[in-house]
Amino acid sequence: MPALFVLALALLGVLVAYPMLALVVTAFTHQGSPSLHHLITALSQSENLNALWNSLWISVLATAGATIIGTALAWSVARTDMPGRKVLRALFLIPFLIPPFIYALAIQQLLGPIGYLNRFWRELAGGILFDINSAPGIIIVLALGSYPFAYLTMLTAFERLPVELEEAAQISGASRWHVIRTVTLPMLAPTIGAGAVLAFVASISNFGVPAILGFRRGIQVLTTRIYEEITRGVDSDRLAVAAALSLVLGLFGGAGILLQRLLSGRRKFTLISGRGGSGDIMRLGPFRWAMTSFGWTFVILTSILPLAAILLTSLLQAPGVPLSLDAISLRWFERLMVASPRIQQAALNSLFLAFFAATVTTLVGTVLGFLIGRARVPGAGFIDWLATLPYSIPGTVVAIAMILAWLQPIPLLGFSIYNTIWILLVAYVARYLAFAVRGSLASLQQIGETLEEAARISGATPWQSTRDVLVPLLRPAMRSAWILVFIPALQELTLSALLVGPRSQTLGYAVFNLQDGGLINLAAALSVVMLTGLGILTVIVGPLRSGRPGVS
Amino acid sequence: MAFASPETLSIIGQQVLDVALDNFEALFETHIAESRLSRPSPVLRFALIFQSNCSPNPTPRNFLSAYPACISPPQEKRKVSIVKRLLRSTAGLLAALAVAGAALAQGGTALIYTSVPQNLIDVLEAAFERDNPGYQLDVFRGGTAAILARVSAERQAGAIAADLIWVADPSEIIALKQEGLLLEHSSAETEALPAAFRDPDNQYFAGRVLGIVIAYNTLMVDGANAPQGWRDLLDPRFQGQTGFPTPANSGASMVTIGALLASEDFGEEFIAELGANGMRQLRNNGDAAQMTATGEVHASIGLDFQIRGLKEQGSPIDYVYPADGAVFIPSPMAIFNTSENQDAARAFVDYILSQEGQQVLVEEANFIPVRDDVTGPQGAPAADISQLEIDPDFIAENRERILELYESNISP
Repeated sequence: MPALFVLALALLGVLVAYPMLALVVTAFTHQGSPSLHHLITALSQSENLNALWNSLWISVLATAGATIIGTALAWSVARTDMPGRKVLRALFLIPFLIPPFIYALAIQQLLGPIGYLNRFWRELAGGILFDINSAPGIIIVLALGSYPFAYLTMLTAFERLPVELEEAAQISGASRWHVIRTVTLPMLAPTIGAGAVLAFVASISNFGVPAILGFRRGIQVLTTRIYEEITRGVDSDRLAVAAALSLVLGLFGGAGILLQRLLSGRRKFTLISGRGGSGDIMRLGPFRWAMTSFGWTFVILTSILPLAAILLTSLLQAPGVPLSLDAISLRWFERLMVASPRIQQAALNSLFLAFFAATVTTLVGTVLGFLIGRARVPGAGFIDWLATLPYSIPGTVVAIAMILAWLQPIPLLGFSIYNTIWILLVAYVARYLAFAVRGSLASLQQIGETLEEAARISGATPWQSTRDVLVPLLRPAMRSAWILVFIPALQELTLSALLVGPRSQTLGYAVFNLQDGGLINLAAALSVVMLTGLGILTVIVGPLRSGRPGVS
Repeated sequence: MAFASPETLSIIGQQVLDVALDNFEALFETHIAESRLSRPSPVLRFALIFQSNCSPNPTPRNFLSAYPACISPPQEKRKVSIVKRLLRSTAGLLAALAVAGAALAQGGTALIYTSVPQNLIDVLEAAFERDNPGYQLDVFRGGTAAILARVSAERQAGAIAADLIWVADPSEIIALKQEGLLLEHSSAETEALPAAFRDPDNQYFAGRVLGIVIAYNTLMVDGANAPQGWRDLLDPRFQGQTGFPTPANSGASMVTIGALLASEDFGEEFIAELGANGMRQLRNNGDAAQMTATGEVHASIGLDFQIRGLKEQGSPIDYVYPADGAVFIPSPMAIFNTSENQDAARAFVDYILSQEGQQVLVEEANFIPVRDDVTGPQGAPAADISQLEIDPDFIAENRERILELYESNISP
């Protein structure tokens, strides 16, 4: 067993600590000595400053939008008597299930300059309704993509908020508005804050949405700026500047996480103080139908129409053909199936990567979780921090760290894993390790040590008691960690965009590359296939992804 | 959960997922308890994907297949540990991969880096593999600039992964030759090429000819108003409606602007005038063709074969070779001298240059052929069309200036 621990720790060192260190060292070293040179260079180029500024204001506005939408939707399903709220409650989560870059592509089909809605509008009124290829467009798509964070946290809050306090205020004669303002909102503030921080980090980390909607208009954010820097070459100067830029990006992501930790700490305190039941349901009276229709309109506009649009594009015979039944064809799907060896290879690569990333993270993460939560080795806190670090910072930062760490040939082995599928695997494992570590930690907390102690008393060795008692109890957590890694890894784009090699393209990258090369219909067809596959997969494995330990 | 993908979900641990889980559980329980549905609606099933399989309220079995596992704790049912099963399946997959790898190693497989659009290089790959049993082609496609950045990155990392390169801009290949990176190749097929299409030292060969055209959307621009030459793009009717792919990505654009710049008839002022008439920067040739086909721009500078392809598919698009100075770019291919798959690489070059290969290029990809004994595609230009001269040395020397000229005049 010690060998297992050493192996897990060594992997953590090689896969996470070393690349992260390489990133920091590269960013702060110039000509062999510590220096702020690269940071200053990076931030003195106007395009980088511009990207930083864009990242900030776009993410802040997207966050505000996400928070308002998420809170309003959560309130409508949790605290009103709106008809159909149970169905809507699930439907409001559809954007959570669509990879963001596919969502961007789908909305582009509706609201691009020649999108279906804009064309319709042109017929009706002339001009265009809205151009999604713009900063406001990026904000809207990011907000729609990240409101589920706010929605989910707020749902919990609305449902578990102690009702007594509100009731007490009402009994004391406060008006409804007064109660909301002085009791409900202050209690909810930390939760709203936590949801907002998650949405902010999600927005500022996003690569696919600004890349798809912003490139055409030259709108750069930090993630796309770093991507451009890297795709124009990886000589040492560019790498150093990219490293410095990713540190800036990581700083904002990291600050967000710190804030989130603070807020979630306080929020827990609020919530645990009372599980007051379902809360105060507001009777909307005649407005309840208005509210429902608003909810359905929202679902149709933000989920159903974009999905229908991308499906329609995938069925169109050629770009620009006027819409008619004659223009519908399956030729792009046919092309995917019979004449796209690269895409088929990409599908295999993604399956390979997702499978092994899930397997390795599950095994290593469980061992690390054990070390942190059960063996309580010295430095457990640091191990935990290190293992969750790559998931707390934007994926772009992780990818740059991987390039820096693995570009040169590995000593002794004499070859470089850069440009091969292995650097992607390494990056995926580092990125998703947090899922497995956190899952096994959460699970260990709920499994008493008494069972293992009983085994030990009955004469089992430490290894036996772990293997026969603990591991079976951890199995559901491992299973769920595996699935939690497998599904996002299958559709990964941010890491892939920076790390793909000639023979290691992934599905996410394939969609991105096709739309970048102007093959929109083919990109749409591949997206439809991916969404269908993910949907089926989620339905099949979804029930397995319980994070609960197997103790009843 | 897909939106919980890496791009968006940069959060500590599983916090949000836990929240999600709690919620779905609550949602699920209340729904089942209250609605007395014998079978949940599709919508609910959608939500159920997050559902814990050990919910206190029993659920109908017919859709939650994993549910019975909950009634009896999983650890009693399954004797084989998940670790073992994972290892076992891992081993199985590795074995399968090893077999696949061995199968690949038997034939010669060359890796090409190319700017030929993905759909077309896929077709050429299939034709090559069909006509050359035993040889295979692997492809990495990107813009000329991205391909060359990748090559330079790989030289840094120790070795160029590619065996072959085939891009749009001849000056880039000449630079590779001057750095001593290319392999000499001579065969009956290379000998059959007109001298203009091959390097005197036999290190690179034009595999196709790219014709630069003005593409226009036929729904937006009617035939009478169609542009005929470069100067028509300065007409007020195209104000703000045209686009030019950026030379930062496209080798063809780099060469085209270089040719305009070097020409006495056009020069720097012409680029400025294009900018003044509201010409827009476009990402790359593929995007430009797509945007023209859909009418997002009314006209754009494009590659002839791409526009022919879209027109064939039925897109409302047409094109002209500019009458006041057409640009034809011999698009060069070369083999790296570091190639470890030289046989396959040579076979591919010979195939592309052969009469049958050129025939495939013409028929499947609409390229202008490099051989005199192959007839060009329908719509190929007349031989006597007036042309701008292409000078690779001039382009190599002026690359920065061309980029600067483009970016300062053409608006994003």
